[in-house]
Amino acid sequence: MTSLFGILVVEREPVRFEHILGQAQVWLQDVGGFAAVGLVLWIAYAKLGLIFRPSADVAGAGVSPGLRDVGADDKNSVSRFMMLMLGLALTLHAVRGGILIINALNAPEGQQPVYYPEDMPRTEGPVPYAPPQFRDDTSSLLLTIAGLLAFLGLSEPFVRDLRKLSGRRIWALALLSFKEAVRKRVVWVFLAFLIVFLFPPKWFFPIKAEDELRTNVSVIYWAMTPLLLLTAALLASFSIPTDIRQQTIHTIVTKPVQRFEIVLGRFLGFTLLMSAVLLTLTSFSLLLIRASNVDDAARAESLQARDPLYGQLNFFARNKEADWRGDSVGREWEYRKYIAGGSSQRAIWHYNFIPSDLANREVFDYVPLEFAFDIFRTTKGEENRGVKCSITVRTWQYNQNEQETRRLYEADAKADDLLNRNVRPDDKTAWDKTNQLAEKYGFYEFRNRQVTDYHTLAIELPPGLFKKAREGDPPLIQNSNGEMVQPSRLVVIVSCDSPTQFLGMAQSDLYVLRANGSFEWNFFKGAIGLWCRLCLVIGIAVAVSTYLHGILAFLVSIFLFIGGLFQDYILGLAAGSSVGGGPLESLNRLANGDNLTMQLDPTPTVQVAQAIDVAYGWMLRRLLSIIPDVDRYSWTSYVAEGFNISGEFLIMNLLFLFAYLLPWGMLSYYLMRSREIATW
Amino acid sequence: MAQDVVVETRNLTKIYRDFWGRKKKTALNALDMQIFKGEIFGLLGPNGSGKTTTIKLLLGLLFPTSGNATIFGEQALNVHKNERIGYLPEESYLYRFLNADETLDFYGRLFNMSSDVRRKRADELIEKVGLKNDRKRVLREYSKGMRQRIGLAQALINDPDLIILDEPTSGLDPLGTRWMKDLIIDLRKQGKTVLMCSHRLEDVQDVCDRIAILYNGDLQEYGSVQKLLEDSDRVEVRAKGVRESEGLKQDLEALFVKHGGELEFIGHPTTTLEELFLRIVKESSERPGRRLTRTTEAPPTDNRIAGN
Repeated sequence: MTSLFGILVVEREPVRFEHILGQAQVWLQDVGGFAAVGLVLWIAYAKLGLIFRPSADVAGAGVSPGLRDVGADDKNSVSRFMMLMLGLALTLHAVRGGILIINALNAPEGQQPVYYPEDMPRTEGPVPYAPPQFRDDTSSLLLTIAGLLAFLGLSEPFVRDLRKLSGRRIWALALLSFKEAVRKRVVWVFLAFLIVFLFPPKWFFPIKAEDELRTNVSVIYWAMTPLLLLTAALLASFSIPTDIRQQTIHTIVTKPVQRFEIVLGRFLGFTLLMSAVLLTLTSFSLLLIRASNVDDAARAESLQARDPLYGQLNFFARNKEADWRGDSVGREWEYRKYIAGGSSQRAIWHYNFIPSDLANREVFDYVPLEFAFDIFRTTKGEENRGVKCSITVRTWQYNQNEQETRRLYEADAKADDLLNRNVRPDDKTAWDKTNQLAEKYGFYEFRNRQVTDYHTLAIELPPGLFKKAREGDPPLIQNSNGEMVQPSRLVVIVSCDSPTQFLGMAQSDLYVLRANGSFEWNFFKGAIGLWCRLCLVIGIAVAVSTYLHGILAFLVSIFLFIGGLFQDYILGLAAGSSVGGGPLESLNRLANGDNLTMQLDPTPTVQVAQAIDVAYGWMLRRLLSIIPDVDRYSWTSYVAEGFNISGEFLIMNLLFLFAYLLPWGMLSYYLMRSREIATW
Repeated sequence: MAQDVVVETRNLTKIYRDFWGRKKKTALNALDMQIFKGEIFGLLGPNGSGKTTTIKLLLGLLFPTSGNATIFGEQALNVHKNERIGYLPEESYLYRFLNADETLDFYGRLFNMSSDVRRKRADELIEKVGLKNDRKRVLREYSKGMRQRIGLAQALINDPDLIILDEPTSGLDPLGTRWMKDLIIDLRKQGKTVLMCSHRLEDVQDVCDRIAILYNGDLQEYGSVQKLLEDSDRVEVRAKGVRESEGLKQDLEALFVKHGGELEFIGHPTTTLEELFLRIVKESSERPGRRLTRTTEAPPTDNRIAGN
């Protein structure tokens, strides 16, 4: 979703280091499932003699059958370790299945059996992405260990053969791919189309001043993405099949080249080529941006690399439930929730972690708090006046003893003539006193701040607040569920001061600006997101092309990539959150003229349709494991809105990339190993 | 001392099946064969006899249905054995966007050769195959003969102990063919083992020490060329310093009748068409402007003995 606001729209929570365990668990479960299937197929093929296993008995008289007893430690096909791992994995799957059946049988009468994973809520509409948490229940652990065992079994020959790989040979094949792509001129044709889009759009059509750079960056990445991806997919899909068709691969395979080196060499070569192209285009674009005299407004909005510190957003109102999530004002895009002006409704950002660099700032080196809220008017309001809000920042010490601390604070503030004043850092004396009060009482307030749509606004916070928040450890308190939890160190409370108006906010609409990095370096980091997508496409295309013809490999890789763009929608289908049910249930409704929301009678037809839809959802979830999460690597908005792409973000996403491509690499290893080159 | 066995097949069989596993064709049926170190071994047969299938099985391009094949004592599917093998395919399946230097450099890298060694070896081979003046041209621009030469160069890049040549003289003119045969013989002199696959019988006869003849996937003949071609029913006598005459003919007739045989043919031995061609080309290059003037040719005489 392109932002109309000068703020970064974060529709999915960024993955952090703390999510590694949960992600690893899900990865093992998914990949392990496929690995178990792969092991079964591989052993079945070996049993049927479809995979040749040569006899070591050269001197044996007469028949040397291609078949060997499964279980022998045969390095060419099936090892004892693979058999053992598969046996253990299947045993654990059986145990888990037994547990699920027993639980289902013992479920109280009328309780619907759980078909869907518990962390996939059956809500209406798209299922929002959330980083998976590590689950330590028996069923999850069994599934994880089974996945690990199956993966180990399937990867044993792969790992063993990795030691035989030669960097020089892989490099030779990579260079070959590079030269082939360059000399066949495919790249140049696409580049010719691309060059036009790299020039600043304002040269061609009028753009609002503050949107200039944002639009520029978006157009550059928008243009580069499909053209580079198509080029990469074409090159990678057709290279190995062409090699096979023209039999040039015969002169390679008859050298001491491991077959997997061919795959790696092709992947490396095309990745290097597209990296060089991407680096050149990115550098050229950046030069053009710098040469185009960026407007001051655009410079303030987007020629930045903000390093935000986000809090956890909650909503509060005296007359609402404890889990109230803000009001909806009927907008189609439900990204933001709203608080009403002139009411007790509040939006509260909680900060549990306060970095030391915020607390150690000098008093006049203030801490910016930036925000961009949406205004929803129910009346026209006052002429020439925007909607106003107040922002209160409180530490845990203040919250512990709010009334008394407030009384003391007001007394001191009144004495310093600071009560109800919005002091700015350029008023040094007053600011110094404000900072002292903030550090002493853990409280700061900015009243009646005017909010304007489509702009990033800011207030300055005294660093003493953060110093105070870092002191000591907040004692545990009981929450509304009766659990003992640690309260937040710092909270930012926003209220709307204009009656009959609404202020809308999402979690990432307000943040403490921790630092501001280099736009240029951030621009290159944004290109790394596109580079990751290129690696995805090249990896899939090369892997698939070891088995399929060029055009089929191309179609499969493009199909999977496009599927990745609709992953949230597919996830909704898989979770059964579509209105009207799954495909067969929907067909049944259509045939009978029933509306989408009507509860259907549990006739045998409906029950069968619903059961098949459950199986369909299961299959879609397996398909989701294969489809790449391409949205994860769309970092254009970070650069366009001037937000830093952090090192943690980069590392995690590169890890994801490796974790996604590794199974494809193993698949291509087995495909290349088991196929007869001369019969392709 | 027993000769070293370089290539050995035991009961090597290849059956092609369709998608459902039904037998389509037996391309090779229980081939037992040995190739010894330092010999030139020919694999003969008409199209579809299994020659190329045998080579592909030895190189690991195909998997046997049953049986075994080893090269230098290692399984044919073992990639490691390729360190000591050079392979020239029937058609020159090389990358046409590379030039000769780049081609040899690429294949040299596949043998983990260092850059100095690669460069030196490439220079030697390009010189050897006579492509020095064309080394910077891309292979797309090469003629058939030139592609065959660069193909041979890549087959020799690693100084292999076993060279496998699939139809090495295919598409070559007589000069090229002679050059290839001389090179093959030279390889044997260096102690290399050569396995060549061809249906040009005269080429095989000229260079091979032993042959195997395949037909329809089955081994039909196997052994030394000389022994296989020997006509034990006839005796060949060559003489120098005498002229063909009626008296000589009668004396020889009587001699052979006395020993229980008969004189079948007397006349001058012939050279091969290839030798004639090469001699003429050589003389023409040494004496530019040499040309044949038309003469009246006598009708051919039949020198066979009457009654035969």
